[in-house]
Amino acid sequence: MIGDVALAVALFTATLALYEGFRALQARARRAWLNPLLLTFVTVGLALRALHVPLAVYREATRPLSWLVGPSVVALAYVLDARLDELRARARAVAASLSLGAVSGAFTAVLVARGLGASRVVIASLAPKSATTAIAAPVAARLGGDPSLAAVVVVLVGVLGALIGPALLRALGVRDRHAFGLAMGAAAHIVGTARARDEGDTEEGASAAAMVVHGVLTALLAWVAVRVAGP
Amino acid sequence: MLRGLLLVSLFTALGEALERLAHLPLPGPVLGLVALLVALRSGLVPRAAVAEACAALTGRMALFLVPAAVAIFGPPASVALLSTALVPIVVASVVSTVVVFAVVGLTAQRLAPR
Repeated sequence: MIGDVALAVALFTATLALYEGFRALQARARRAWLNPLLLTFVTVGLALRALHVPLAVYREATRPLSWLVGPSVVALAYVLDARLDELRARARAVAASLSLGAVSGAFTAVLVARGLGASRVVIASLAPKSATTAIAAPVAARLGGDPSLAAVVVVLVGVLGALIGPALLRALGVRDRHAFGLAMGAAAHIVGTARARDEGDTEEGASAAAMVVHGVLTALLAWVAVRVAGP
Repeated sequence: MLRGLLLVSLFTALGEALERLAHLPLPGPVLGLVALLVALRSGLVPRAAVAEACAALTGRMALFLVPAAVAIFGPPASVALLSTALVPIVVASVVSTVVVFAVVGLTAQRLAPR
């Protein structure tokens, strides 16, 4: 019993330490692929395998972290509230671009996956892929998908978006700073927002707001896309 | 800080209750987000009351998702799901991400006020 508690505390502490370590590393090196969530979950996953620690034990030990996923999504209301006046000044551009983004993001993911013969579980996990992870995982679960697969896909999408997004937007001729930020936040959520910070305040603010609004719209559109275009 | 956390927890619970009662397609936390936004805008909840708690929670969002992401190593092995459907997952994710970049960036730029 004492051993179980000690193991749980060790797993919990190691998770926090790894995450904070990788976070500090990224703050220094500023590389999108050094994403702290990506590096932490791969390190933990491989370590649990090597040490033969059952996943159920890890899940129990880190339950306090999982409990905070819901409140952290609710807390995004504060981020959005702080940016709402800025968004109001550009209401038309914001509403149209993010609605079209959520529709096209959810439908292309569902249709391409379906066209390539993916199963229902995979399709439901991919539908919310352009929402931020904390939104995408519960949405995938609700649609009958796999929340873990959704979480991993969303992290990888964010890293990919932060890497290719700026060059892609420039190649497309997107020069408006606000539009650049909206696209980064919509397509690459929190990872894209961190990258947008390098461009400037306008880009970061637009990206943070887009992440929240696009995340909420995607939650709704993922459901529509799976119903309308799913198998 | 603790009072802010209490308020955020209340809105999280409210979201979960709404999800169950109203049978809405949105998950509880997203409904809680919308409810808290309405409360902040209407002045029902003062910004200062939740500022610290919200900054702490959103600043470490990714950490809270580590257990969910680790679960991909299974069992039940989502890794197997990932490897058997690797091509559809990668192609659908990349295509959809590029489409979102193009659609949002170009639409927002075209409609930008000048």
